[in-house]
Formats: sequence, C-alpha cells, structure tokens
Amino acid sequence: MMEKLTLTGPADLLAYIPHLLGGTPTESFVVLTATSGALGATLRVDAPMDAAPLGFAQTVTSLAAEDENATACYLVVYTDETGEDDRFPYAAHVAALGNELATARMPVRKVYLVTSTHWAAYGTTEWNPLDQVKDSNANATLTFMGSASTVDVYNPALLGKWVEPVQVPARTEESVEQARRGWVAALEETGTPDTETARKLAAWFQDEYIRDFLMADTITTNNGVIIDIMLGKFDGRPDWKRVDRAEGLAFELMKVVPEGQRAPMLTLMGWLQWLKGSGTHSARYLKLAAEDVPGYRFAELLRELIGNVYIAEVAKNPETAYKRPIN
Amino acid sequence: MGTEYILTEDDKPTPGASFLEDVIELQLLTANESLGPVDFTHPQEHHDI
Repeated sequence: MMEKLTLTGPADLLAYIPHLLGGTPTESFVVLTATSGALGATLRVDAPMDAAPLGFAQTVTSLAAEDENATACYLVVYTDETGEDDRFPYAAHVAALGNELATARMPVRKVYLVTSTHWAAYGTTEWNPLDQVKDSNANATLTFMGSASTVDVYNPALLGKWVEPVQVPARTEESVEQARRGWVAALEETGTPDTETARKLAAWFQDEYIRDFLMADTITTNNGVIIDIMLGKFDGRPDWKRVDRAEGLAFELMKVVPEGQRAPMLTLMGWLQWLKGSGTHSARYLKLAAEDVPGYRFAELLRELIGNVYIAEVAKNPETAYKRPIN
Repeated sequence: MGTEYILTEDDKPTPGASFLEDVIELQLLTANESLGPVDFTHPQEHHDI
C-alpha cells in the first residue's frame, strides 16, 4: 500500500529526516534531493570541520548526484558550532555547496539551520522552537503509521555480564561447512535460537576465516567476488528481511558470550548497516567492536573503508536499496 | 555447500587468513579522502511524498 504523505512546510520536512535516517543528525550536513513535487534521496555527511569548502562541496555534490533524477535539493545544517554570527555557521561551505549543487543542475531551494535548541531558515534571526518539528503533521502521521525516528537493535542493558567464553572451534573443511550450514539455517528460521545453538554460532564467528564466509553468506544475491560483496555490489536486491534477521541474530549471539568475544558480531552489524545506507549506525557498531576487542583488525579496516568509499553500491539505487519498513 | 568465493578470477581465499580483511586493505590503497561515515537513504516503504 502506498500512502501519500504531504509535507506542507519546513517543520514537516525537518521532522521527516530522522524517520529516514533512523535518528536525528548532529553536527551534520543533510542534502535532500527532489524532483518536481517529490523528495528523492537523503544524504547525510559529517559537518566539514577543517575541510576546505570547495573540496567538501564537490565531494558532497558528487554523492548527492547518485540520485540521477534530482532536479533540486534542500540543505539542512545541523550544528551547535554556530560561531560569532550564529545566523551563518559554515558560511563558506554552505556557499560552495550551493554553487556546486547548482552547477550539477540540482539547485538548492532552501537552506535550514537546526541546533539543539531551535531551527531557522539559514541566515535569518527568526528562531523557531524544536517542538514545532516534534508536533508537526509529518511527525504525527509517520509515527501513527508505525515509523520510529530512532532505531536500535543494540541494547547493552540486555547483554549478560557473567557468561562463560565460547571455545573457538578447530578450523577444518568440515567445520567451515558445518558453520555455514548452521548460520544459513538460523537465518532461515524464525524465533530466537536456543542458548546452545547461539553459543555454537557465536563460537564460529570467533574464527576470522569462518566469520568471513558467514558474513558473505548473509547476502543471497552476492556474486561470489569478495571485493564486490564487501562494497555491496550484488546481482540483485538483497533479501532485506534476511539482513534484518541477521542483524537481530548477531545481537542474540552477543548475549551468550562475554565482553571480548562480541566484536565479530558487532562488525557484522556494522557492515549490514552500511549496506542499508546508514554510515552513522555502521560507524557506531564498528567503534563498539574495536572497543570490545582493542585493535580488532576487521572492524578498524571496515571503518576506514566506509569513511573512504562513502556509500555501498546497493544503497545507491532505490530499486535495490533498503527502505526502512513501517510496521 | 553454498557459494564458492573468489578474490579475483584466478585466486581463491587461502585457509588461515581473513580474505575480507585482505581485500579491504587492497581497496584502501586507492582510497578517497576520508569524509567520515555517510548516510544515504531513500523514502520509506508504504508511502510516497
């Protein structure tokens, strides 16, 4: 069922963003692409800090241009670093981005500023309370439809503190096959695996070679080429319900192992979030992985990768990309 | 069972190493300037704007 949601003003537009991103941005630039009468993709990047305005603007524009249908866009600056003239934070970056987006034939229609206390049309002194966003028609409608502006599978309060470590299994051809069969079976079942099964799966994830297979096997439309799999270049739309299931399972496996053995599952969750288009959630999980096992190489490499590659291939195309479901 | 994964058309992953870590390291040799994590999403299911 497709229902039309009409955004009638800035408060509606600003309310819509957390529902798309799964959280309210902070210290970020958000570009919403648009065509006539419809919004397209939503792009969020970290606020530029020390980055040169032109380079930053060119990179952000090239990412926004992944939406090939865009003919215009909206820019929202989320920051509390408003500087001396609090009407124009990041003025040089905003100006450069406006120029670059216009050159790319998606001129900026409006720019808004959102701080932790108010929102405003960029460059104006008319500050509006954030309650206008919270109480907006769009927020009420989306919430009524079952959308949540925050999502989180990870809940540290549910993780046990006194759990025996799992023993890492010996790696043989048979154990690799057994692990892969076990993981695929768990993905195809419903419900939560019993503790014994969960601990067995968590043990397999501790072996980096087996872990790699289990991660790749999560995506049924992969083409078998490792670099393509890592970058999210698949043969078709992934089974996103299976990906959601994998993320939930990864958290279940974390519950049955102690600290120091959760990094592989956190890394899987981080990679899956990146495939879904959420670099923010991905980076958070990968940071947690590197905290769980200091120097956990896979998490550190993956974190560097997503900061450099920016957007997973699968997330670029609306036909293959994950779209947050409304319950 | 399952997919047989390849690094390139000629190479297969060798037991004893993480082939995913290896390919990421190779990829990072030609990395862009880091922009930090990026979010890129499309409108949610079940409604249009």
